[in-house]
Amino acid sequence: MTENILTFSPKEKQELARLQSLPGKTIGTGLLEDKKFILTKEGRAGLEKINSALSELGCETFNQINHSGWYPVSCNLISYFLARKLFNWNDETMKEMGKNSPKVSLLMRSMAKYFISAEKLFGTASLYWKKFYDVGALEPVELNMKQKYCLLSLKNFPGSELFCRHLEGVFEIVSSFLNYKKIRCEEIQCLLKGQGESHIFKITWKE
Amino acid sequence: MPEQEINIITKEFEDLSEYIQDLWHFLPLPIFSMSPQGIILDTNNAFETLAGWTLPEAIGEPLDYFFSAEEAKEIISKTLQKKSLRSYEAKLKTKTKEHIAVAVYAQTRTDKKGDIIGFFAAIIDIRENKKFQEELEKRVKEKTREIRGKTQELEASGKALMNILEDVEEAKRNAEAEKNKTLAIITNFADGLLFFDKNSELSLVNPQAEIILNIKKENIIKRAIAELASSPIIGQIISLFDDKKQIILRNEIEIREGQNLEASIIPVMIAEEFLGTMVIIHDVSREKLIEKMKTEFVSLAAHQLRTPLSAIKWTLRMLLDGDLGKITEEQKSFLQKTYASNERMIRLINDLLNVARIEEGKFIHKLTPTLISEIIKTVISSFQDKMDLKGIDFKYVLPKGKIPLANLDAEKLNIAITNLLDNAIDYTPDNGKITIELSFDKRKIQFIIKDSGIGIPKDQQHRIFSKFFRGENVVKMETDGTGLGTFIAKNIIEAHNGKIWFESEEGKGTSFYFTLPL
Repeated sequence: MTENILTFSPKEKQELARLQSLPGKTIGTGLLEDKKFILTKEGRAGLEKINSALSELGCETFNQINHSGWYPVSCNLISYFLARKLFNWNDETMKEMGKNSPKVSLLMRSMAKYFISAEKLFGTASLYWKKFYDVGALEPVELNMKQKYCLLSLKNFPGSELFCRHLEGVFEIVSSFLNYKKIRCEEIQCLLKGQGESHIFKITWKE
Repeated sequence: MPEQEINIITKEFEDLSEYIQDLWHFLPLPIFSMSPQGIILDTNNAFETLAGWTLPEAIGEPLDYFFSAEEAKEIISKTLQKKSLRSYEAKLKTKTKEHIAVAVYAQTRTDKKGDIIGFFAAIIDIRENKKFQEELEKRVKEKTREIRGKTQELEASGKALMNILEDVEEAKRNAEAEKNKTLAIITNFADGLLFFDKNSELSLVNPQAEIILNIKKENIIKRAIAELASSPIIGQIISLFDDKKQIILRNEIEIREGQNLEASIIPVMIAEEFLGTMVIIHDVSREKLIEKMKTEFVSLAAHQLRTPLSAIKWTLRMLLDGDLGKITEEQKSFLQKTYASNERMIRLINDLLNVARIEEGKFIHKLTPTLISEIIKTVISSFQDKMDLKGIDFKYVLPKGKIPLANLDAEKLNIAITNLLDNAIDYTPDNGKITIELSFDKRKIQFIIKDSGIGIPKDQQHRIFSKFFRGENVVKMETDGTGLGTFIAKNIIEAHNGKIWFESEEGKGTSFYFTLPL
């Protein structure tokens, strides 16, 4: 049995309400990747804690998720919200969870054939996105091999700041499959901050 | 597609996915998958067990994170080249920074178009094999080294053996040459030479021996001593052998009328080992003849001289005693000097006659039981006046108990003692000391005459018993002696089977000793 420990500030409540209102679905395998990270990081007790909170907020718990099932993307974002709230995770931890995700992803392994070149990898960004989400669109904006950077744009999906950190981790690690060194991914434009109509992520590297 | 069918497919996909995951992690063989760039995309539990890297730690890392850059490059290039890689030996870097010997197997993954989309790889821990192989190689190396060492030893032994063989050959040649040389010496040796081996067989006869003994080598060679002992000539030589085979003997034998040989019997030994007996035969017939002729001449001359000298002696005696008329003191003085000179001449002639008799072997006539002390007493009394005249302090020390009789030629022993006492008086200064001491035991009588005279110079002592020897210090002070006294004394004592010797120190005196058997 879990104890009701959740109390939210008005601002948190406002953010929760925004997240719950977001449309779209995400595939279970992505959620299960997050589940593995939580288990590694916080143990079974941590997982139970977040499951309980998810349940209280009307979301399916991690234990109810199947690889190939599709689940509300709002619950995915709420789980990040709860992780910060319950475990005090900072931006770096969120990014770390994002980095962990492709490593344990079965879907990612099936995409190994695209990890041949930057052109091919970034060219499949849309496909990648669609394998995980049925909302929004991820598109390559610019690939500059000379200056060793790439710009990816996430459109039509506001997400959350924590989700953006998570994506930074994901993009960093996926880029590392090209055997680039010192890869960094940074969101340089955020839709939530009113900086434009999409999120823009810049990935840089050194060979 | 109806939702029901989608759900069924989705369910099957999930089941299949779980099955693959379970199988992947169940496999005891460490396996991993890689992107075409060599980035690790997946590992299994066995990989984690072997390398220590967890799945999240390993995934996303390049292959050279787990192998050396060179090995990683080779694994990929070789796999790409043949689409598969079999048993590539490499060192896996573990989380604990160990380097594990592994064999890498890899295979490319291709899409429907045939494009390479990644790799599957497996690694086998070959540490035990490697260890066994290294141990085996080490042992093989050791054995090889051992065999090489043995081979070298054998080669060295072979060389040493060849050297030894060469040395032996050379030694054999040298020995052969030496043998030939020795044989040449033996063949050309002026004296006859016989050699009886340790089995008492005659093994060597040189040509000179054949000539001297007038025998044929082939008649006597290889024959045993026992057989040859009955031979009239060689038998005489064999009769001289010492049974103990230990001492060198030299004897003269007359093998025929007028043929005298000096045979030296020499035991040949190497350390304690007796090798045989060598006989050197020297023909002394000519020397013997000359000696005999010389002795006969001396004897004849002495006899011829002594008769007129005796006549002169008695004539002078009569003149000195006044039997032929009164003579003046001056005449008497001249006659006395002439008488003394005549006496010396007679004494010399007597000595020469004695020597001649000694050399003829006719000196000792008859041995009869005699009391030696009486002979000594007679000699002492004949010299009493002379000793008194020089003021000699003389002592005659007799032993306690009854002196035994000895078989002696009294006349000759008298001569020997006379010579010794006469010398002692002559070479002892006035007021000196002379002692005669007699002693005996069950086997012998010992005579000692000790003086405090001028002594015999050390460098001349070896000649003291030679004929006509006179010490340099004696010649300076005394001219009367003939140099025959000790020679005669020695021959007389030895003719009685006795022994004579002396001890002397120049300026302090001399002691003569002789023993006679009882």
